[in-house]
Amino acid sequence: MARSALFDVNLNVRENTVTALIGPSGCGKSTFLRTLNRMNDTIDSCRVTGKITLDDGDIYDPSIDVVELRARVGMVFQKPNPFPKSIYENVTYGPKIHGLARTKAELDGIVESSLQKAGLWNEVKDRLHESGTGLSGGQQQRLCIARAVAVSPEVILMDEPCSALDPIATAKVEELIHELRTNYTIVIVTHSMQQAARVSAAHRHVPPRQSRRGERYRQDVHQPG
Amino acid sequence: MAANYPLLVRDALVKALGIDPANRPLVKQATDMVSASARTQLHDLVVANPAIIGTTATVSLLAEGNIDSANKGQIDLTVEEANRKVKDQQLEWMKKLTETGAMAKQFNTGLFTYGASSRPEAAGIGVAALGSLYMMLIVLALALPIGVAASIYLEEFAPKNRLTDLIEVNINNLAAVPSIVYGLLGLSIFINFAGMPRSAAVVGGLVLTLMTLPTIIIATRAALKAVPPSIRSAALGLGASKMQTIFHHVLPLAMPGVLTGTIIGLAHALGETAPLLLIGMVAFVVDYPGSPMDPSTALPVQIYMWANEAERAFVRTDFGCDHDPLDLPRRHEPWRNPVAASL
Repeated sequence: MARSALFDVNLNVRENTVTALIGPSGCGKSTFLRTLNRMNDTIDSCRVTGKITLDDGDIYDPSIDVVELRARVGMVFQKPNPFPKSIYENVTYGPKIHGLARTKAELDGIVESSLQKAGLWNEVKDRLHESGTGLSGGQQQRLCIARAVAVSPEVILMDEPCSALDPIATAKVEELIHELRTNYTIVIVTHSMQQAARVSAAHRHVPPRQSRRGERYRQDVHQPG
Repeated sequence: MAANYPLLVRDALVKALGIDPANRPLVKQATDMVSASARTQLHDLVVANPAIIGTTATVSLLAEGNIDSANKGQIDLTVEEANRKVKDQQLEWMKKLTETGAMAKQFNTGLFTYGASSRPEAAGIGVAALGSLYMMLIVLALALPIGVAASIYLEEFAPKNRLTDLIEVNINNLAAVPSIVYGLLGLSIFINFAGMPRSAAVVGGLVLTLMTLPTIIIATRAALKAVPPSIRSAALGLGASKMQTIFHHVLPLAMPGVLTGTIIGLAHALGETAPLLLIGMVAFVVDYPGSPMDPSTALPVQIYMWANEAERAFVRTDFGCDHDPLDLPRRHEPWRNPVAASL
Protein backbone atom coordinates (compact mmCIF):
# COMPACT_ATOMS: atom_id res chain seq x y z
CA MET A 1 0.00 0.00 0.00
CA ALA A 2 1.41 3.34 -0.97
CA ARG A 3 1.54 5.90 1.77
CA SER A 4 3.16 9.27 1.53
CA ALA A 5 5.62 10.12 4.28
CA LEU A 6 6.08 13.71 3.25
CA PHE A 7 3.95 16.03 1.23
CA ASP A 8 4.42 19.51 -0.13
CA VAL A 9 7.82 20.19 1.29
CA ASN A 10 9.59 23.34 0.28
CA LEU A 11 12.90 24.23 1.88
CA ASN A 12 15.98 26.27 1.14
CA VAL A 13 19.23 25.17 2.65
CA ARG A 14 21.77 27.96 2.76
CA GLU A 15 25.40 27.39 1.94
CA ASN A 16 27.91 27.02 4.78
CA THR A 17 25.33 27.11 7.52
CA VAL A 18 23.97 24.45 9.82
CA THR A 19 20.32 23.77 9.17
CA ALA A 20 18.58 21.71 11.82
CA LEU A 21 15.35 19.80 11.26
CA ILE A 22 13.34 19.08 14.37
CA GLY A 23 10.03 17.39 14.91
CA PRO A 24 8.42 14.44 16.66
CA SER A 25 9.39 10.85 15.91
CA GLY A 26 7.98 9.45 12.69
CA CYS A 27 7.16 12.79 11.12
CA GLY A 28 9.53 12.21 8.24
CA LYS A 29 12.67 14.17 9.14
CA SER A 30 15.02 11.31 8.30
CA THR A 31 13.09 10.44 5.17
CA PHE A 32 13.44 14.01 4.05
CA LEU A 33 17.14 14.05 4.86
CA ARG A 34 17.66 10.83 2.91
CA THR A 35 16.07 12.33 -0.19
CA LEU A 36 18.89 14.87 -0.24
CA ASN A 37 21.53 12.34 -1.26
CA ARG A 38 19.11 9.81 -2.75
CA MET A 39 19.69 7.23 -0.03
CA ASN A 40 15.98 6.44 -0.38
CA ASP A 41 16.81 4.92 -3.77
CA THR A 42 17.91 1.79 -1.91
CA ILE A 43 14.33 1.26 -0.75
CA ASP A 44 12.49 -0.41 -3.62
CA SER A 45 9.05 0.96 -2.86
CA CYS A 46 10.13 4.53 -2.23
CA ARG A 47 9.10 7.20 -4.71
CA VAL A 48 10.09 10.84 -4.79
CA THR A 49 8.37 13.51 -6.86
CA GLY A 50 9.27 17.13 -7.24
CA LYS A 51 12.63 18.73 -7.55
CA ILE A 52 15.70 18.98 -5.36
CA THR A 53 18.47 21.14 -6.71
CA LEU A 54 22.08 21.38 -5.67
CA ASP A 55 23.86 24.32 -7.27
CA ASP A 56 21.01 24.58 -9.81
CA GLY A 57 21.30 20.92 -10.89
CA ASP A 58 18.34 18.62 -10.24
CA ILE A 59 19.71 15.71 -8.26
CA TYR A 60 16.82 13.48 -9.37
CA ASP A 61 17.66 14.07 -13.02
CA PRO A 62 18.19 10.67 -14.72
CA SER A 63 21.56 11.83 -16.04
CA ILE A 64 22.89 12.34 -12.52
CA ASP A 65 25.29 9.66 -11.26
CA VAL A 66 24.14 8.74 -7.76
CA VAL A 67 27.67 7.71 -6.80
CA GLU A 68 28.96 11.17 -7.71
CA LEU A 69 26.06 12.84 -5.93
CA ARG A 70 26.80 10.94 -2.73
CA ALA A 71 30.41 11.99 -2.95
CA ARG A 72 29.20 15.60 -3.00
CA VAL A 73 26.56 15.07 -0.34
CA GLY A 74 28.00 12.98 2.50
CA MET A 75 26.04 11.41 5.30
CA VAL A 76 26.52 10.59 8.97
CA PHE A 77 24.07 8.15 10.50
CA GLN A 78 22.24 7.91 13.77
CA LYS A 79 24.29 5.01 15.08
CA PRO A 80 28.05 5.15 14.63
CA ASN A 81 28.77 2.66 11.87
CA PRO A 82 32.51 2.46 11.21
CA PHE A 83 33.61 -0.34 8.90
CA PRO A 84 35.12 -3.26 10.80
CA LYS A 85 38.53 -2.23 9.51
CA SER A 86 41.34 -0.06 10.81
CA ILE A 87 40.80 3.62 11.54
CA TYR A 88 43.11 4.44 8.65
CA GLU A 89 41.15 2.26 6.20
CA ASN A 90 37.87 3.73 7.41
CA VAL A 91 39.00 7.22 6.45
CA THR A 92 40.77 6.25 3.21
CA TYR A 93 37.98 4.11 1.79
CA GLY A 94 36.04 7.05 0.33
CA PRO A 95 39.05 8.82 -1.23
CA LYS A 96 40.20 5.48 -2.64
CA ILE A 97 36.98 4.60 -4.44
CA HIS A 98 36.66 8.12 -5.80
CA GLY A 99 40.28 8.25 -6.86
CA LEU A 100 41.04 11.37 -4.80
CA ALA A 101 44.56 10.32 -3.90
CA ARG A 102 47.26 8.79 -6.03
CA THR A 103 50.05 8.19 -3.57
CA LYS A 104 50.32 6.88 -0.05
CA ALA A 105 51.55 10.31 1.07
CA GLU A 106 48.40 11.96 -0.29
CA LEU A 107 46.26 9.40 1.51
CA ASP A 108 48.17 9.97 4.72
CA GLY A 109 47.56 13.70 4.30
CA ILE A 110 43.82 13.16 3.81
CA VAL A 111 43.67 10.91 6.88
CA GLU A 112 45.43 13.46 9.05
CA SER A 113 43.44 16.47 7.88
CA SER A 114 40.10 14.61 8.08
CA LEU A 115 40.79 13.30 11.55
CA GLN A 116 41.92 16.74 12.62
CA LYS A 117 38.75 18.32 11.25
CA ALA A 118 36.77 15.71 13.17
CA GLY A 119 38.78 16.51 16.32
CA LEU A 120 39.95 12.91 16.60
CA TRP A 121 43.55 13.16 15.43
CA ASN A 122 45.16 13.63 18.83
CA GLU A 123 43.26 10.70 20.28
CA VAL A 124 44.00 8.17 17.55
CA LYS A 125 47.19 9.27 15.80
CA ASP A 126 49.19 6.51 17.50
CA ARG A 127 46.77 3.74 16.69
CA LEU A 128 45.62 4.42 13.16
CA HIS A 129 45.94 0.77 12.28
CA GLU A 130 43.76 -0.53 15.08
CA SER A 131 40.16 -1.43 14.39
CA GLY A 132 37.69 1.43 14.13
CA THR A 133 35.12 -0.59 16.04
CA GLY A 134 37.40 -0.60 19.10
CA LEU A 135 36.84 3.12 19.72
CA SER A 136 34.29 4.53 22.15
CA GLY A 137 30.86 5.49 20.81
CA GLY A 138 31.68 9.20 20.64
CA GLN A 139 35.01 8.52 18.96
CA GLN A 140 33.31 6.18 16.50
CA GLN A 141 30.82 8.88 15.57
CA ARG A 142 33.60 11.40 15.06
CA LEU A 143 35.41 8.78 12.96
CA CYS A 144 32.27 8.52 10.83
CA ILE A 145 32.29 12.30 10.45
CA ALA A 146 35.98 12.18 9.49
CA ARG A 147 35.15 9.46 6.99
CA ALA A 148 32.43 11.65 5.47
CA VAL A 149 34.72 14.69 5.44
CA ALA A 150 37.53 12.74 3.74
CA VAL A 151 35.78 12.72 0.37
CA SER A 152 35.53 16.55 0.53
CA PRO A 153 31.76 16.80 0.17
CA GLU A 154 29.94 20.08 -0.25
CA VAL A 155 27.05 19.07 1.98
CA ILE A 156 27.05 16.81 5.02
CA LEU A 157 23.77 15.27 6.15
CA MET A 158 23.55 14.16 9.76
CA ASP A 159 20.74 11.97 10.98
CA GLU A 160 20.54 12.40 14.75
CA PRO A 161 24.29 12.01 15.09
CA CYS A 162 24.23 12.36 18.87
CA SER A 163 21.30 10.19 19.82
CA ALA A 164 23.50 7.23 20.73
CA LEU A 165 26.06 9.27 22.64
CA ASP A 166 26.52 10.40 26.23
CA PRO A 167 26.40 14.14 27.07
CA ILE A 168 30.18 14.63 26.99
CA ALA A 169 30.56 12.93 23.60
CA THR A 170 27.49 14.84 22.43
CA ALA A 171 29.08 18.13 23.44
CA LYS A 172 32.21 17.25 21.48
CA VAL A 173 30.27 16.32 18.37
CA GLU A 174 28.15 19.46 18.63
CA GLU A 175 31.24 21.61 18.93
CA LEU A 176 32.62 19.86 15.89
CA ILE A 177 29.46 20.49 13.87
CA HIS A 178 29.63 24.11 14.83
CA GLU A 179 33.22 24.34 13.56
CA LEU A 180 32.56 22.40 10.36
CA ARG A 181 29.93 24.87 9.20
CA THR A 182 32.58 27.27 7.91
CA ASN A 183 33.59 24.79 5.21
CA TYR A 184 30.53 22.64 4.74
CA THR A 185 26.81 23.00 4.35
CA ILE A 186 25.31 20.87 7.07
CA VAL A 187 21.76 19.58 7.44
CA ILE A 188 21.14 17.90 10.76
CA VAL A 189 18.13 16.04 12.13
CA THR A 190 17.75 16.22 15.86
CA HIS A 191 15.22 15.68 18.61
CA SER A 192 16.60 18.26 20.91
CA MET A 193 15.58 21.90 20.61
CA GLN A 194 18.62 22.87 22.65
CA GLN A 195 20.90 21.00 20.33
CA ALA A 196 19.28 22.60 17.33
CA ALA A 197 19.87 25.97 18.92
CA ARG A 198 23.44 25.15 19.84
CA VAL A 199 24.61 23.85 16.50
CA SER A 200 22.53 25.63 13.96
CA ALA A 201 22.20 28.98 12.39
CA ALA A 202 18.67 28.08 11.39
CA HIS A 203 16.31 25.35 12.42
CA ARG A 204 13.18 24.19 10.69
CA HIS A 205 10.32 22.56 12.42
CA VAL A 206 8.87 19.59 10.62
CA PRO A 207 5.21 19.30 11.53
CA PRO A 208 3.78 15.93 12.42
CA ARG A 209 2.41 13.86 9.59
CA GLN A 210 -1.22 14.13 10.63
CA SER A 211 -1.30 17.80 9.88
CA ARG A 212 0.99 17.78 6.92
CA ARG A 213 -1.56 18.22 4.15
CA GLY A 214 -1.45 21.71 2.78
CA GLU A 215 0.97 22.78 5.44
CA ARG A 216 4.45 23.92 4.64
CA TYR A 217 7.64 23.58 6.56
CA ARG A 218 7.61 26.57 8.80
CA GLN A 219 10.85 28.34 8.47
CA ASP A 220 11.47 29.39 12.03
CA VAL A 221 14.76 31.04 11.75
CA HIS A 222 16.60 31.00 14.98
CA GLN A 223 19.72 33.02 15.42
CA PRO A 224 21.89 31.61 18.16
CA GLY A 225 22.70 34.08 20.84
CA MET B 1 61.13 -56.08 -18.63
CA ALA B 2 59.45 -59.42 -19.00
CA ALA B 3 61.04 -62.03 -16.86
CA ASN B 4 59.95 -64.96 -14.74
CA TYR B 5 59.79 -63.08 -11.49
CA PRO B 6 57.77 -65.73 -9.60
CA LEU B 7 60.64 -68.10 -10.34
CA LEU B 8 63.01 -65.87 -8.37
CA VAL B 9 60.62 -65.95 -5.43
CA ARG B 10 60.27 -69.71 -5.68
CA ASP B 11 64.00 -70.35 -5.79
CA ALA B 12 64.60 -68.09 -2.83
CA LEU B 13 61.93 -69.83 -0.78
CA VAL B 14 63.09 -73.32 -1.71
CA LYS B 15 66.56 -72.39 -0.59
CA ALA B 16 65.46 -70.74 2.65
CA LEU B 17 63.11 -73.54 3.65
CA GLY B 18 65.28 -76.41 2.38
CA ILE B 19 62.53 -78.02 0.27
CA ASP B 20 63.19 -80.52 -2.48
CA PRO B 21 62.52 -78.48 -5.69
CA ALA B 22 61.07 -81.58 -7.31
CA ASN B 23 58.31 -81.86 -4.72
CA ARG B 24 55.81 -79.74 -6.61
CA PRO B 25 52.91 -79.67 -4.08
CA LEU B 26 55.27 -78.63 -1.30
CA VAL B 27 56.87 -75.92 -3.44
CA LYS B 28 53.41 -74.63 -4.33
CA GLN B 29 52.48 -74.42 -0.64
CA ALA B 30 55.66 -72.45 -0.01
CA THR B 31 55.17 -70.00 -2.87
CA ASP B 32 51.57 -69.48 -1.81
CA MET B 33 52.86 -67.86 1.35
CA VAL B 34 54.17 -64.87 -0.60
CA SER B 35 51.76 -62.38 -2.08
CA ALA B 36 51.17 -62.71 -5.80
CA SER B 37 51.91 -58.99 -5.91
CA ALA B 38 55.58 -59.95 -5.48
CA ARG B 39 55.76 -60.28 -9.24
CA THR B 40 54.87 -56.63 -9.89
CA GLN B 41 56.95 -55.57 -6.92
CA LEU B 42 60.07 -57.21 -8.43
CA HIS B 43 59.20 -55.94 -11.87
CA ASP B 44 58.97 -52.36 -10.61
CA LEU B 45 62.29 -52.80 -8.81
CA VAL B 46 64.02 -53.86 -12.01
CA VAL B 47 62.41 -51.10 -14.07
CA ALA B 48 63.50 -48.50 -11.54
CA ASN B 49 67.07 -49.78 -11.45
CA PRO B 50 68.06 -52.06 -14.36
CA ALA B 51 71.59 -52.36 -12.98
CA ILE B 52 70.21 -54.73 -10.35
CA ILE B 53 70.00 -57.55 -12.94
CA GLY B 54 72.56 -60.26 -12.33
CA THR B 55 73.22 -59.19 -8.73
CA THR B 56 71.93 -60.64 -5.51
CA ALA B 57 69.78 -58.28 -3.49
CA THR B 58 67.72 -58.57 -0.33
CA VAL B 59 64.13 -57.60 -1.05
CA SER B 60 61.15 -57.42 1.31
CA LEU B 61 58.05 -58.98 -0.18
CA LEU B 62 54.52 -58.91 1.19
CA ALA B 63 53.17 -62.06 2.78
CA GLU B 64 49.93 -63.48 1.49
CA GLY B 65 46.87 -62.12 3.28
CA ASN B 66 45.88 -65.35 5.04
CA ILE B 67 49.44 -65.93 6.24
CA ASP B 68 49.37 -62.41 7.65
CA SER B 69 46.07 -63.15 9.40
CA ALA B 70 47.47 -66.39 10.81
CA ASN B 71 50.57 -64.58 11.99
CA LYS B 72 48.37 -62.10 13.85
CA GLY B 73 46.41 -64.96 15.39
CA GLN B 74 43.22 -64.12 13.55
CA ILE B 75 42.73 -67.60 12.11
CA ASP B 76 41.18 -70.31 14.21
CA LEU B 77 43.73 -73.14 14.27
CA THR B 78 41.39 -75.60 15.95
CA VAL B 79 39.56 -75.97 12.63
CA GLU B 80 40.42 -79.14 10.72
CA GLU B 81 43.37 -78.56 8.37
CA ALA B 82 41.42 -79.37 5.21
CA ASN B 83 38.96 -76.57 5.99
CA ARG B 84 41.64 -74.06 6.84
CA LYS B 85 43.25 -71.59 4.45
CA VAL B 86 46.58 -71.91 6.20
CA LYS B 87 48.03 -75.42 6.29
CA ASP B 88 50.04 -76.97 9.13
CA GLN B 89 53.15 -77.13 6.95
CA GLN B 90 52.89 -73.41 6.26
CA LEU B 91 52.50 -72.65 9.96
CA GLU B 92 55.65 -74.61 10.61
CA TRP B 93 57.53 -72.66 7.93
CA MET B 94 56.21 -69.43 9.34
CA LYS B 95 57.68 -70.32 12.70
CA LYS B 96 60.99 -71.20 11.09
CA LEU B 97 61.16 -68.05 8.97
CA THR B 98 60.26 -65.85 11.93
CA GLU B 99 63.04 -67.43 13.98
CA THR B 100 65.65 -66.84 11.26
CA GLY B 101 64.38 -63.29 10.86
CA ALA B 102 63.35 -63.87 7.25
CA MET B 103 59.74 -63.05 8.11
CA ALA B 104 58.85 -60.05 10.20
CA LYS B 105 55.88 -57.80 10.88
CA GLN B 106 56.16 -54.39 9.28
CA PHE B 107 53.78 -51.55 8.71
CA ASN B 108 52.47 -51.88 5.16
CA THR B 109 52.74 -48.31 3.83
CA GLY B 110 51.12 -49.59 0.64
CA LEU B 111 47.81 -49.03 2.42
CA PHE B 112 48.20 -45.37 1.46
CA THR B 113 49.70 -45.80 -1.99
CA TYR B 114 48.20 -48.90 -3.60
CA GLY B 115 45.00 -49.07 -5.58
CA ALA B 116 42.27 -51.66 -5.56
CA SER B 117 43.35 -55.30 -5.41
CA SER B 118 41.71 -58.63 -4.84
CA ARG B 119 44.58 -59.41 -2.47
CA PRO B 120 44.17 -57.61 0.81
CA GLU B 121 47.93 -57.24 1.33
CA ALA B 122 48.26 -55.33 -1.94
CA ALA B 123 45.13 -53.18 -1.59
CA GLY B 124 45.35 -49.51 -0.67
CA ILE B 125 43.48 -46.23 -0.66
CA GLY B 126 45.97 -44.30 -2.81
CA VAL B 127 44.02 -44.47 -6.04
CA ALA B 128 40.69 -43.82 -4.34
CA ALA B 129 42.16 -40.83 -2.49
CA LEU B 130 43.34 -39.31 -5.77
CA GLY B 131 39.88 -39.85 -7.27
CA SER B 132 38.31 -38.14 -4.27
CA LEU B 133 40.84 -35.29 -4.54
CA TYR B 134 39.97 -34.72 -8.21
CA MET B 135 36.27 -34.62 -7.36
CA MET B 136 36.77 -32.22 -4.45
CA LEU B 137 38.81 -29.88 -6.64
CA ILE B 138 36.05 -29.90 -9.25
CA VAL B 139 33.39 -29.31 -6.61
CA LEU B 140 35.36 -26.46 -5.05
CA ALA B 141 36.15 -24.86 -8.41
CA LEU B 142 32.52 -24.98 -9.56
CA ALA B 143 30.25 -24.93 -6.53
CA LEU B 144 31.94 -22.11 -4.60
CA PRO B 145 31.93 -19.42 -7.33
CA ILE B 146 28.55 -20.43 -8.76
CA GLY B 147 27.00 -20.73 -5.29
CA VAL B 148 28.35 -17.40 -4.06
CA ALA B 149 27.42 -15.62 -7.29
CA ALA B 150 23.90 -17.06 -7.20
CA SER B 151 23.44 -16.02 -3.57
CA ILE B 152 24.69 -12.49 -4.20
CA TYR B 153 22.32 -12.14 -7.12
CA LEU B 154 19.32 -13.52 -5.23
CA GLU B 155 20.06 -11.63 -2.04
CA GLU B 156 21.26 -8.27 -3.35
CA PHE B 157 20.11 -7.71 -6.90
CA ALA B 158 17.07 -9.84 -7.76
CA PRO B 159 13.69 -8.17 -7.39
CA LYS B 160 11.59 -9.68 -4.62
CA ASN B 161 8.70 -11.18 -6.51
CA ARG B 162 6.86 -14.44 -7.03
CA LEU B 163 9.54 -15.83 -9.34
CA THR B 164 12.38 -15.29 -6.88
CA ASP B 165 10.23 -16.72 -4.09
CA LEU B 166 9.72 -19.81 -6.22
CA ILE B 167 13.46 -20.08 -6.86
CA GLU B 168 14.17 -19.79 -3.15
CA VAL B 169 11.69 -22.53 -2.29
CA ASN B 170 13.18 -24.77 -4.96
CA ILE B 171 16.73 -24.27 -3.76
CA ASN B 172 15.67 -25.19 -0.24
CA ASN B 173 13.96 -28.28 -1.59
CA LEU B 174 17.01 -29.28 -3.63
CA ALA B 175 19.09 -29.29 -0.47
CA ALA B 176 16.80 -32.01 0.87
CA VAL B 177 16.79 -34.25 -2.21
CA PRO B 178 18.29 -37.70 -1.48
CA SER B 179 21.77 -37.93 -2.92
CA ILE B 180 21.03 -41.04 -4.98
CA VAL B 181 18.58 -38.96 -7.00
CA TYR B 182 21.46 -36.68 -7.97
CA GLY B 183 23.22 -39.85 -9.12
CA LEU B 184 20.30 -40.64 -11.42
CA LEU B 185 20.34 -37.09 -12.72
CA GLY B 186 24.06 -37.28 -13.41
CA LEU B 187 23.68 -40.63 -15.13
CA SER B 188 20.99 -39.37 -17.48
CA ILE B 189 22.42 -35.91 -18.16
CA PHE B 190 26.19 -36.18 -18.04
CA ILE B 191 26.65 -39.76 -19.23
CA ASN B 192 23.64 -40.63 -21.38
CA PHE B 193 22.92 -37.18 -22.79
CA ALA B 194 26.27 -35.39 -22.81
CA GLY B 195 28.21 -38.56 -23.50
CA MET B 196 30.83 -38.07 -20.80
CA PRO B 197 32.93 -41.07 -19.77
CA ARG B 198 31.68 -43.52 -17.17
CA SER B 199 33.53 -43.95 -13.88
CA ALA B 200 35.30 -40.64 -14.41
CA ALA B 201 36.05 -38.20 -11.62
CA VAL B 202 34.82 -35.33 -13.77
CA VAL B 203 31.27 -36.72 -13.80
CA GLY B 204 31.48 -37.50 -10.09
CA GLY B 205 32.67 -33.95 -9.47
CA LEU B 206 29.81 -32.47 -11.50
CA VAL B 207 27.18 -34.57 -9.72
CA LEU B 208 28.60 -33.64 -6.33
CA THR B 209 28.69 -29.99 -7.42
CA LEU B 210 24.95 -30.12 -8.10
CA MET B 211 24.45 -31.73 -4.72
CA THR B 212 26.61 -29.18 -2.88
CA LEU B 213 25.29 -26.04 -4.57
CA PRO B 214 22.05 -25.69 -2.55
CA THR B 215 23.97 -26.09 0.71
CA ILE B 216 26.41 -23.36 -0.27
CA ILE B 217 23.67 -21.06 -1.56
CA ILE B 218 21.59 -21.38 1.59
CA ALA B 219 24.58 -20.78 3.87
CA THR B 220 25.81 -17.83 1.79
CA ARG B 221 22.40 -16.18 1.67
CA ALA B 222 22.07 -16.50 5.42
CA ALA B 223 25.54 -15.00 5.86
CA LEU B 224 24.72 -12.10 3.52
CA LYS B 225 21.46 -11.44 5.32
CA ALA B 226 23.30 -11.32 8.64
CA VAL B 227 25.55 -8.43 7.55
CA PRO B 228 24.23 -5.36 9.42
CA PRO B 229 22.42 -2.88 7.14
CA SER B 230 24.38 -0.06 8.77
CA ILE B 231 27.51 -1.24 6.93
CA ARG B 232 25.68 -1.06 3.62
CA SER B 233 24.36 2.45 4.37
CA ALA B 234 27.82 3.56 5.46
CA ALA B 235 29.38 2.42 2.19
CA LEU B 236 26.53 3.74 0.03
CA GLY B 237 26.57 7.04 1.93
CA LEU B 238 30.23 7.47 1.05
CA GLY B 239 29.39 7.11 -2.61
CA ALA B 240 30.33 3.48 -3.13
CA SER B 241 28.41 1.79 -5.94
CA LYS B 242 26.30 -1.25 -5.18
CA MET B 243 29.01 -3.56 -6.53
CA GLN B 244 31.67 -1.85 -4.44
CA THR B 245 29.49 -2.03 -1.36
CA ILE B 246 28.97 -5.74 -1.84
CA PHE B 247 32.49 -6.75 -2.79
CA HIS B 248 34.37 -4.40 -0.44
CA HIS B 249 32.18 -4.64 2.64
CA VAL B 250 29.29 -7.09 2.59
CA LEU B 251 31.05 -10.14 1.14
CA PRO B 252 34.16 -9.90 3.35
CA LEU B 253 31.91 -9.74 6.40
CA ALA B 254 29.87 -12.69 5.14
CA MET B 255 32.98 -14.73 4.28
CA PRO B 256 33.15 -16.78 7.51
CA GLY B 257 29.57 -17.91 6.92
CA VAL B 258 30.27 -18.64 3.27
CA LEU B 259 33.29 -20.75 4.18
CA THR B 260 31.37 -22.63 6.85
CA GLY B 261 28.73 -23.52 4.26
CA THR B 262 31.41 -24.52 1.77
CA ILE B 263 33.19 -26.78 4.24
CA ILE B 264 29.94 -28.45 5.27
CA GLY B 265 29.03 -28.95 1.61
CA LEU B 266 32.46 -30.31 0.69
CA ALA B 267 32.57 -32.67 3.66
CA HIS B 268 29.13 -33.90 2.70
CA ALA B 269 30.27 -34.42 -0.90
CA LEU B 270 33.48 -36.16 0.17
CA GLY B 271 31.59 -38.75 2.17
CA GLU B 272 28.94 -39.38 -0.46
CA THR B 273 28.72 -42.89 -1.95
CA ALA B 274 25.22 -43.23 -3.33
CA PRO B 275 25.41 -40.91 -6.37
CA LEU B 276 28.76 -42.42 -7.34
CA LEU B 277 27.22 -45.90 -7.50
CA LEU B 278 25.06 -44.79 -10.39
CA ILE B 279 27.71 -43.11 -12.49
CA GLY B 280 29.96 -46.14 -12.39
CA MET B 281 32.53 -45.03 -9.89
CA VAL B 282 32.15 -48.31 -8.03
CA ALA B 283 35.01 -49.60 -10.11
CA PHE B 284 37.95 -51.83 -9.47
CA VAL B 285 40.61 -49.24 -10.26
CA VAL B 286 44.18 -50.42 -9.90
CA ASP B 287 46.07 -47.57 -11.56
CA TYR B 288 46.19 -43.94 -10.56
CA PRO B 289 43.90 -41.86 -12.80
CA GLY B 290 46.09 -39.55 -14.88
CA SER B 291 43.33 -36.97 -15.30
CA PRO B 292 39.75 -36.44 -14.09
CA MET B 293 38.60 -38.03 -17.35
CA ASP B 294 40.17 -41.40 -16.46
CA PRO B 295 38.33 -44.12 -14.59
CA SER B 296 38.68 -43.59 -10.88
CA THR B 297 36.96 -44.35 -7.64
CA ALA B 298 36.43 -42.52 -4.37
CA LEU B 299 37.34 -43.16 -0.75
CA PRO B 300 33.88 -44.02 0.57
CA VAL B 301 33.27 -46.27 -2.43
CA GLN B 302 36.57 -48.08 -1.78
CA ILE B 303 35.55 -48.75 1.80
CA TYR B 304 32.16 -49.97 0.62
CA MET B 305 33.81 -52.37 -1.83
CA TRP B 306 36.24 -53.72 0.76
CA ALA B 307 33.37 -54.41 3.07
CA ASN B 308 32.03 -56.84 0.49
CA GLU B 309 35.28 -58.82 0.20
CA ALA B 310 35.53 -62.32 1.68
CA GLU B 311 39.16 -62.25 2.82
CA ARG B 312 39.67 -61.93 6.48
CA ALA B 313 42.34 -59.26 6.05
CA PHE B 314 39.99 -56.87 4.27
CA VAL B 315 37.41 -57.09 6.97
CA ARG B 316 39.81 -57.16 9.82
CA THR B 317 41.94 -54.23 8.78
CA ASP B 318 38.98 -52.13 7.76
CA PHE B 319 36.37 -52.88 10.29
CA GLY B 320 37.83 -54.90 13.10
CA CYS B 321 34.62 -56.89 13.30
CA ASP B 322 34.70 -60.30 14.85
CA HIS B 323 33.44 -62.86 12.44
CA ASP B 324 34.54 -66.28 11.30
CA PRO B 325 35.70 -65.94 7.66
CA LEU B 326 35.66 -69.65 6.97
CA ASP B 327 31.99 -69.94 7.65
CA LEU B 328 31.15 -68.37 4.32
CA PRO B 329 27.42 -69.09 4.04
CA ARG B 330 26.82 -67.26 7.28
CA ARG B 331 28.29 -64.08 5.84
CA HIS B 332 25.14 -63.65 3.87
CA GLU B 333 22.89 -63.64 6.87
CA PRO B 334 22.90 -60.00 7.77
CA TRP B 335 21.91 -60.60 11.39
CA ARG B 336 25.05 -62.65 11.85
CA ASN B 337 27.28 -60.26 10.02
CA PRO B 338 27.79 -56.85 11.54
CA VAL B 339 29.35 -55.51 8.34
CA ALA B 340 26.46 -56.43 6.12
CA ALA B 341 24.01 -55.24 8.72
CA SER B 342 25.63 -51.84 9.01
CA LEU B 343 25.48 -51.30 5.28
